[in-house]
Amino acid sequence: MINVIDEISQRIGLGSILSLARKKMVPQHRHTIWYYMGGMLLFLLLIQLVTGPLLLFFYKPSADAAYQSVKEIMVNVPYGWLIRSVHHWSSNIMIVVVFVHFFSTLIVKAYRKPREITWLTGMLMLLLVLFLGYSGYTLPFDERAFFALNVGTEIPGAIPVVGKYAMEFLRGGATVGAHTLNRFFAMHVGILPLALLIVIGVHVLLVQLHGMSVPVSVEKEMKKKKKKILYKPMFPHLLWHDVVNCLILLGVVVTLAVLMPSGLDPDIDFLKPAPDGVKPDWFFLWVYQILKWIPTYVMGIEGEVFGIVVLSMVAGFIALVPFVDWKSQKNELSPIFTFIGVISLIVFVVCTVIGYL
Amino acid sequence: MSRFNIPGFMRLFSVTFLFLMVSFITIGTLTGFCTEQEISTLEAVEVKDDTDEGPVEITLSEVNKAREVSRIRVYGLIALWAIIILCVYLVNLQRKDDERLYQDGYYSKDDE
Amino acid sequence: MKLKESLLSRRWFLTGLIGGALTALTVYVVNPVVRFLFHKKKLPLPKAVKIAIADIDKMLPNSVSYFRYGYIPAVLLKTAEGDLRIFSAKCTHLDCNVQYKPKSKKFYCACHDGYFNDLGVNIKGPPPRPLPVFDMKMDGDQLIVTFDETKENNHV
Repeated sequence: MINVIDEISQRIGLGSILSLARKKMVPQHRHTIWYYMGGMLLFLLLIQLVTGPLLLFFYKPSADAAYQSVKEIMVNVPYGWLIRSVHHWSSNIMIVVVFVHFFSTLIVKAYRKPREITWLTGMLMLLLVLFLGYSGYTLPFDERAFFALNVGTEIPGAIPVVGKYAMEFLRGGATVGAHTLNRFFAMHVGILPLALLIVIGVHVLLVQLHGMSVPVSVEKEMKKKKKKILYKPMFPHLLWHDVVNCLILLGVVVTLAVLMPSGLDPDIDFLKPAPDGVKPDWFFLWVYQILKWIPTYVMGIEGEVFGIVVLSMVAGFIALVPFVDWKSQKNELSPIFTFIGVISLIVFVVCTVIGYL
Repeated sequence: MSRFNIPGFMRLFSVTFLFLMVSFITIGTLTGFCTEQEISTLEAVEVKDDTDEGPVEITLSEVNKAREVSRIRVYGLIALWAIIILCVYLVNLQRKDDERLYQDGYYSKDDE
Repeated sequence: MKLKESLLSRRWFLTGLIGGALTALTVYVVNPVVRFLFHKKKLPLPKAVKIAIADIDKMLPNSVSYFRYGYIPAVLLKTAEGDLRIFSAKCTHLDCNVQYKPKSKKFYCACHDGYFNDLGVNIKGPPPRPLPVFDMKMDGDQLIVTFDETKENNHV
């Protein structure tokens, strides 16, 4: 019987990769469940990379044809409603899992030495995924997309000094128009996916290099009990776990796509005022709510500017957490940063819920 | 060039070939190789009768109708879950088999 | 007859079952994708097209003029005797637009050196079929042109 892997290996020298794969061991403890988030994200990205180009076959990226082409996909193209809805729900679930992955890594402190660069690439990917999600829902160029483009590109305009240039770069001009759609299309379809794939490559390589991080609390507990942490091989044992997770994830995405297919808002009317209750998509509701709470002027500075600056500083602090949390660097318990992580999660969830209501 | 040990006739051949290619493209372009032809056109008006509706624009109500959850879609979803559950069950069987083999030391034999 | 050894190990049977189940899942998922990709848009052809006789009269004898019939580029030939003939301008070989050579009274396709005579019949080169023919009738000062897709050689 022909062993296909052996035959391929003889031709492209898979030997070293396969022996590395055989040696990959994954620690088993009460926080093992968080290890599966990365694999799930890769699978969701695969769904996006399949359904996205499929939609590209029928989507027309110009201001006067985009809306009609999306309607065409929904009504006339066989299973167009399904492909579009799968793309939409898969992106939403991907953002949920990205946040779960982010908060779990923050709270169990998987960012400590030598995984600082892995953390930084992860932060970069979080931003890329959020921007991919945002740019995606502007492409139908319906009423909602138009308001999203106006407000979303206005916010960077509040950044001191560079704000005006950032806004004009995103819009392709001073105001939102056909040129803005072209730009967002280029970003969503080309630039952001390419950047994401490159960063994922670096991130996954580093994860394979460093292995899986074990939380300090688990290490100390096992040391206390004088027990060794159990390790299981990735291939084939835990690969089966990943396969099961991905199958269930596929089922969930398709279920949501079938029971709650993506909709479409009315066509753009430049003169129409913003409708009541207009809000950004759920993953930006926390920013929207925080900005809503900030008064018009704070210490003489415009509230919006103050809000953006403060949020940017918080994001910067979280990005630099591996370098600031010196207790974790020394492999010691760091309750202050656990507290910061838990508070960030609570703020995120509470602000999102309030923003939704 | 001498590092690659290209024989003299090959060098002569490649230089001649490149020269011919360049002159072909240059002369071809200069003599109107790729120039546009002028053609005479007629204006033709399409005949439309009363039954013609013109280009049909899809309405939002049609889009919402396409989104409706029909019975066949639910059956398709149930079928998908049936296949997924079957796959998950079989994969779990395989995983348990692999764990037993691992405990028996089967997988560590590769490293010996 | 009972076999002493199984022809297929339990493990291989399970692997085969998993392979089969995953293949079934793949086929189930790929089916809507394939149907999505193979959706094609059928562009409609107009019922008829009107051309002003005055414009045709301006044409020189033994010359052609081109016009659109929906998505078909069409060519109207005014012979030396003043007869009018209308053909599809798409070469029947690989769809390049043909040109008319007045000296030889032939239609010529520059892509692969195909030739059609002034009745649209393929006479030389790779074109496998004659050029599709349009029907026409006079209606006052207009020429009404129609295309019958059911006619022999008239598939575009």
